[in-house]
Amino acid sequence: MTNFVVGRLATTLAAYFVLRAILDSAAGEHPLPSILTAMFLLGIQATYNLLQSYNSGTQYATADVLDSLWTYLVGTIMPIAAGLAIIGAIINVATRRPALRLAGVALGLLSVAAIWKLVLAMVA
Amino acid sequence: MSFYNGILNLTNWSGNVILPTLAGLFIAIAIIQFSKGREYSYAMYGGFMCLMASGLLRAFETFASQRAWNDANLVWAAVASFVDWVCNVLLPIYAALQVAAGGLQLAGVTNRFQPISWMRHFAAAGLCLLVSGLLRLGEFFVTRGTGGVT
Repeated sequence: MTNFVVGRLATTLAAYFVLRAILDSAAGEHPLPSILTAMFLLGIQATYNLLQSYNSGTQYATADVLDSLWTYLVGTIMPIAAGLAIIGAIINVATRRPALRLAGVALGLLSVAAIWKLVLAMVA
Repeated sequence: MSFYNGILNLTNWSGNVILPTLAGLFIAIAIIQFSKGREYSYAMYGGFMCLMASGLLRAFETFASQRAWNDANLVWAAVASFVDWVCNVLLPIYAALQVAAGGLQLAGVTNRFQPISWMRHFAAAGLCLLVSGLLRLGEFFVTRGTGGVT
């Protein structure tokens, strides 16, 4: 069952989302969410292995997995997403759309951990 | 296959392959807009920025690494660095461009292309170089104002 879902179904769904990205563009919407969904589906086995490697097997395993996932997102994925935000800001400048918001998003994605610490400091 | 590789390669491909190619298109659009007397600066600057995507990302990474990653003041430091860069690096360069544009306008070289007074270029150059002083002046007025009218 797992082999079927991960090996076949997820791949087919990813192909569907690639097609949907093109259709989203044709409808005037942004293709990026569909592209990222397709990538996530294609990498579902690696994500599963990653989550398994975070499992400490103790009574706090759930919190450990969530903590590690947070660190992975903030330290690895978000800085790359900041690059995508910069690219979006450049395209917005060239096409005369608001770009400062995406520049702020890029700064925010590069400092997620600090924003978390700031919120903690405000709450304390 | 992993999501990390996917998003990393997507970013690299967009920033290092697609944007430099689109730069040519945006410059072409800027020329066509210029020929029709329309606003062309967005496409022109956008074209140049397409060639500078990696550099801009490195600049933002520098802004966001002015403090330790877990320092709550990092957000403020990042925004302050960004403002400092815009006001003290970009605006003086823009001031030089405005002085050059004003000189060309005054000499009658570009006044057939754009009906902007040379005075506006020189005033913009002065304001670009005075931005810190104007901010301090505003702060001075507000500080004095907190005492109320006497």
